[in-house]
Amino acid sequence: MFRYLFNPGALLSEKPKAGPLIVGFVLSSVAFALFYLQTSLDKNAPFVLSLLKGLMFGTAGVALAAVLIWLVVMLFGSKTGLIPVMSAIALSYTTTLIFTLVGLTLHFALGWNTALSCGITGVLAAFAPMSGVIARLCHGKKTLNIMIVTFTGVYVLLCWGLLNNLI
Amino acid sequence: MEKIAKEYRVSFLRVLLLLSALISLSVLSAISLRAAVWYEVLTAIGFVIVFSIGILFATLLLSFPNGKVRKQFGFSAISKATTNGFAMLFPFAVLALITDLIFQWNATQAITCAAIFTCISVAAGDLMNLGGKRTVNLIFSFLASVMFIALYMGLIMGAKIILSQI
Repeated sequence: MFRYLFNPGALLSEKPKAGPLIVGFVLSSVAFALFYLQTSLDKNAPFVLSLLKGLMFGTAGVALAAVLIWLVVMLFGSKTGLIPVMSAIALSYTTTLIFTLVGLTLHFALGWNTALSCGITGVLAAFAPMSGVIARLCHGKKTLNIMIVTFTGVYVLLCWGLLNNLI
Repeated sequence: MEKIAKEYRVSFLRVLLLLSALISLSVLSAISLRAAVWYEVLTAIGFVIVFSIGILFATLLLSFPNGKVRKQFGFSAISKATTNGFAMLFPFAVLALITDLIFQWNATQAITCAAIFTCISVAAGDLMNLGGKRTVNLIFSFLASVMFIALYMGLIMGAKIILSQI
């Protein structure tokens, strides 16, 4: 299981399992819950609602992104099933979780505002493993890979802005 | 292996994505200095030059641990891998534009540093797929990223110092 955390693309060449799917969505929901919590702490706003929004986005939002990615790569000839794609996309946010944990530690220890420096950077750090996953799905279509990664980044950032009343 | 090498060819569209991302990140980095227009234009040109030197430097540095790939596919395989890797600047440039225009935040420098790190990691990953050694590629890609980021931050610091003395 541990090897999938930093190389989620490896999941795509194996049989679909429930374990990575559950672990992936638990990790992504906690990652986004902590990211949204950081945002509310930085704004001195009530944090319970933000935490719930983060949990919701980390599960339903990431699942929606994974379904859209799956549909697009299917159009370009991929035969990978939905479950491995969802698991791999959700597991890509392991790096985001690490960044948000560091950010929260810095916030509570030193009082720094870390939603931007650690939260957004965490979302950006997920691009590398996600690019690896999509590269396997696209079978070498690198431009398509770049477009899908761009879409996912914009989707995550805009949803975060809208759900936290930043836009 | 030949089939994999074919997948790593560079398309015109990808070069276009790389150039557009490079120019937009350079312009955003220059704008973040909040100086006179002529100074921002000059700095943006400086950033384009720094990015080009950085990409060239990363290509050379990544060619050292990939002698096997160089022998089998030629030096062009290394340069194609880095060009393809740096095409990944595009999503970061789009996010930098969004944070600047929609959120009105000055996060270009942080985004650019993350972009450089990711692009070089992607290039090193491609070289590993072509037969390069994993550990050495990880070390060299880390070194290349740190040096590239130091070059970028050096230009920002230099531009700020010159600006404070004008």
